[in-house]
Amino acid sequence: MEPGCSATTVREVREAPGGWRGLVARAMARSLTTFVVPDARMAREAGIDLAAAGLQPVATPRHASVLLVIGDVPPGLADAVTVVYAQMPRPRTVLALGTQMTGLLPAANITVPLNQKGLERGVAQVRARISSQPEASADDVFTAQVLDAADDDDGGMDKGEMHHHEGNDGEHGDEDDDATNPHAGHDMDDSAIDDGDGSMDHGDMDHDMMGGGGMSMVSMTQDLPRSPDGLPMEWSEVAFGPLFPGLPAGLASTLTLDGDTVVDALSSGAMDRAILSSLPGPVASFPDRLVAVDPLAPVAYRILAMKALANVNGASIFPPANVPWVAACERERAASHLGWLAGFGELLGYDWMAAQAAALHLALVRAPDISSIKAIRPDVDRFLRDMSRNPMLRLRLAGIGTLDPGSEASGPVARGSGKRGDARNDDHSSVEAGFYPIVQDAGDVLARFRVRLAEISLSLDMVAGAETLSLPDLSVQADFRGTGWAVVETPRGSATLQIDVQDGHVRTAHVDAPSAVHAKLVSQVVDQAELADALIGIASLDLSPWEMDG
Amino acid sequence: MIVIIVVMSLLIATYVVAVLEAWVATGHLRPAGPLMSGMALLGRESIIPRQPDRLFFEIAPPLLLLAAVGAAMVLPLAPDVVVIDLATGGLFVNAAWVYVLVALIMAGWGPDGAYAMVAGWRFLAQLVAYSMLIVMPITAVAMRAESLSMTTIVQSQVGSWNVVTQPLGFLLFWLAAMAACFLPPFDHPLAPAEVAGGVTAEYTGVRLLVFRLGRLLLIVTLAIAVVVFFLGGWHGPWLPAWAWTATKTLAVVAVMLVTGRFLPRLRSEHLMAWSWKLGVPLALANILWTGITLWMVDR
Repeated sequence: MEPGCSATTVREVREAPGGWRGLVARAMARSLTTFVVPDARMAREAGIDLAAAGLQPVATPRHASVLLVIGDVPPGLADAVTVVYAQMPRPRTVLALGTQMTGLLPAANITVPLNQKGLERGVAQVRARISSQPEASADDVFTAQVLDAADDDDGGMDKGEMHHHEGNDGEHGDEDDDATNPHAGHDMDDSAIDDGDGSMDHGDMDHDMMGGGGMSMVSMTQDLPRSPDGLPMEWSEVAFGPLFPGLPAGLASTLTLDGDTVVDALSSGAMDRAILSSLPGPVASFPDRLVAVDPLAPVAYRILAMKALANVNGASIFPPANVPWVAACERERAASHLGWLAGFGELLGYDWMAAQAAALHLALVRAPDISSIKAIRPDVDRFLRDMSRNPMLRLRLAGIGTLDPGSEASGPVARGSGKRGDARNDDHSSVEAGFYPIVQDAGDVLARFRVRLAEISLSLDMVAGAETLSLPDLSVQADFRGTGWAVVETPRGSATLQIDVQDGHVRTAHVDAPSAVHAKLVSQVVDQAELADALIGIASLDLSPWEMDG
Repeated sequence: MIVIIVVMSLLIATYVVAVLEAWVATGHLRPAGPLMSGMALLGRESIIPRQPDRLFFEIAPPLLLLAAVGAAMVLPLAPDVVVIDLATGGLFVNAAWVYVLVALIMAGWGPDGAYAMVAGWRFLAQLVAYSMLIVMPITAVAMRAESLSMTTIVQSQVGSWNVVTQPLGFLLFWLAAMAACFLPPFDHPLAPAEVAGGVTAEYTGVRLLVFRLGRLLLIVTLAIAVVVFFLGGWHGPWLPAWAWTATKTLAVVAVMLVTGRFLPRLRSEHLMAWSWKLGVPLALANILWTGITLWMVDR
């Protein structure tokens, strides 16, 4: 038994059934569909290739047979994960990579280390488990507690209210009025709905309207809100997230839909306040603590911590030359933009673009040194050329999601609207490595898209000219004290850090993250946009939900 | 007997299309893939949402299948291999395909979920865009054949196929056919990242299997219609008639699937605008063009 790998216990393994049930069991074991938590981008960031392991990702938990959990589930996502699991049809399996999922329902059925080999081993165990116990197990009854709690609160069907319903109840009886007819064989009907990922049913379909048989349309619709085109339509509040397939995992948006036009949006993230309050502590481990703030940009935050420490009054904790930082930071930027492109391609329904970007993202994440990055450079260049010349993308993206970013925005969001602000402008070593700000003027989705494409190319140029990808080590003296400030250009925008150090301990640390500012732009981007355009606009902001308040 | 041959051919074609679709999407050719997925779906739990419109929820997948079957009943696969040789076949297929809309609206409304509902409405908007572009090219084709009977339409293409004499109609019908079976770039009702699976989001188990089967059969019937109306049906040298129909149909489906992979989903606004401002005038021009050429040939 290898460490980190849990065995299926003896009592769970039964004789593989024969005959028709055996055939179905083997078929289920061979077609594994998976819902990835948090999302496919985080899987690639961890160096995981789902297709190579034989898993097919799907967009809705209803079509999934395996719940794939990558790393520890952040507290902000715990409820959503329970809802997703409750929605999955049985037989279902939870495959956890690199986490024990302790104290979190649902418990992991199979746990493996967080790498490609671990995943492949885990998939083999999943297949064995499904082949041997194919039927929806009567023991596998799961209700999502967050939905039970919400259900107790609401009474009737008021317009615009969120309705939550229970998870699968199995055959153990429930107090619903709907009768359940358990069918023989494999099917088990449940009277359960879960509009999951938190989605909303259109409970605001009013029952009031049914009663008024003789009312005119004018009087029936006089109290309905009107959109700018004057048509009174039903408004629904629909939740998109936090595990919605087209948006970053952790981003919970509630869009108010007027037909299929979005009139308002409220977004919240999945920031873990406990991480921020645990930042004070020993200086030597401070960068490790700061990295936990945003798992999507660990290198940038590590560099931020080290720079802030280096700038503390009177300290000289490592040599002033910071060229080694540039290569690591720019490699992360290129990888982040490629990962974003893959998700964006899926949102656009552009499978070829999504597949290529995902492959390049994975290759860049896995590249161990600068020469391997140079080796994949021709493929990246070809891809970027195809994307920037693509007339269909231009048609699709031009003119939507136009915004005025305001003075606080940074990153590609600001640079796509003509603002030249970039933390690297003042960084001598970045400029020496070849940096120049990439700016587009239009302020729409196409402009931000083009900025990111060009930044990938520029970042890889800067990496190619460097000597090493690794970061310098941190060494600290015991009587180190003072205040320090630093700014770093993360892939999403400028992040600043203010720290106060005394006696070798960080006393206070204040982080300003770019996504917290950009979250305020969401309502601008979606205003009166058709649903697809609104989602594309939100995705074009490249928000990191871990930096946004929940 | 004919019925059995037609049904078997359609089932085989549906299976091959499923293999092709998976091949285009994943890059791996898995001949046993659809069989495994189908059986896997049979083994999974069927979940009923809590407050569905039960009638719509249950009827939608079989209705989609029936719409496709209805269209398939009048499509000729070879000179005498057609289940019902309707004199108004060209009209009937269109009527059958309209039930796809009914099925998708039901699938959207039934589960009582927001994503499915929005996806259903999106298909309604899509139908408003493509439906004229299905009917008008059929009109032009029927003008040449001087009949709406599908067999006569194929026989009228002995000298030259309609793709050569009515290229505009062919292009418009092709695009409208892709929209009618909601293949990418027209897959608004199913968009995985925009509406989380859309109309199929809440279906599991057998119902999902029936829905997917219905959609595949719909793709096959639309491809056969393209072949019958524009690509000369079963005409061709050396090979027997059924082989030509099969080859042409699969070629049409392959091209449709491949082009979808390389195009982003069309914006709803563009779909509407281009269909009505560009597509309909072009379809009318096509009819005019066909009329003129037929008149000149007559003289």
